[in-house]
Amino acid sequence: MSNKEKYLGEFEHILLLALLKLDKQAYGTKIRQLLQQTIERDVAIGALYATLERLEKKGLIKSSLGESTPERGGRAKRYFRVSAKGKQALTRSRSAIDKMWQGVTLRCLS
Amino acid sequence: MSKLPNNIPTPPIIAEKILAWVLPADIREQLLGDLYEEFCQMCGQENLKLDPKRWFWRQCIRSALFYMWKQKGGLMAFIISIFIFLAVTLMGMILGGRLEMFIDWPSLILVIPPALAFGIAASSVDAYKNSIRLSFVDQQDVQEKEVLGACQFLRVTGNTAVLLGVFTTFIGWVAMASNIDAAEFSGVFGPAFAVSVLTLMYGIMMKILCYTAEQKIQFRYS
Repeated sequence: MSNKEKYLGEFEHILLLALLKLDKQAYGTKIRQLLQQTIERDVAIGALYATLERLEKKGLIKSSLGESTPERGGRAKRYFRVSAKGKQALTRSRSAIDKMWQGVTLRCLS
Repeated sequence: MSKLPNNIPTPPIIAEKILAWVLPADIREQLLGDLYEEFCQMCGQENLKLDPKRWFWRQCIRSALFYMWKQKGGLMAFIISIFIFLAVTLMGMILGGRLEMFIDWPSLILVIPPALAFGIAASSVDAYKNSIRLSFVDQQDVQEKEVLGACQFLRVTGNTAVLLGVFTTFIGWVAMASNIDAAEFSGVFGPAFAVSVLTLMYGIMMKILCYTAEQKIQFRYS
């Protein structure tokens, strides 16, 4: 695995955590709303899907088609879930960040 | 989940169509469904900071820009190249004098309609329609026959435009030589010569556009 694939970008990290939080309800609308409510990040739905597609190509998540409902104009949902490889990547990423934070103190000047 | 409004809301159709055109087929339905679901939820809420239709437009434009180069890169490059060509031509014309010097409707009529007619005669009306469609729309399921027909139309139209330009320039020269006498030569020759070579210029412009479109189609679909 190349370094590029081994480590997660910030948004990739956040998205994987969002999928874990939403569990079986992880699809576009819910993910976007969770990001907005939790970290106040207003993501374009296109940018969200582009990152999810990239994560799926890396094998870090899996997707499946769900039901279509009237409130979606009869269109199906695409559910996402984190794969075992994705969970490993998350653990590795968190561990790296925790190690780097050790001994670091931020002094607020304001 | 937010309550759905009693009347089914309609999102801005143009925004939805633009986004659907740009999106890859495998995620199109799901992404549009997500947008529509959130739009309906917003329509059912009160005291919103942002108008749902405005929000929908913003999402569509931001998402379309995200996928535009990825999905329609060839088309965008083609449109930009035509725009640059026209801008440079216009700049050259303005720097060369007045813009009206380069516009002569009879010369345009002598070159463009006959070139298009020859192009259709050498291929078909369908090939003419396909040449426009394939130049501006990236399609997945295109038959080889359609590509060959479109290329044939563009090749014949471009080449005929140049040949017609040369031919009608010669007509102009013959007319000039027959009608200008020595006494009025210095005052009349310049403007008459300028008009006579305009047909050649229009023919070459047409050839440049047809050649670029033909190469684009060949590269994209062959």
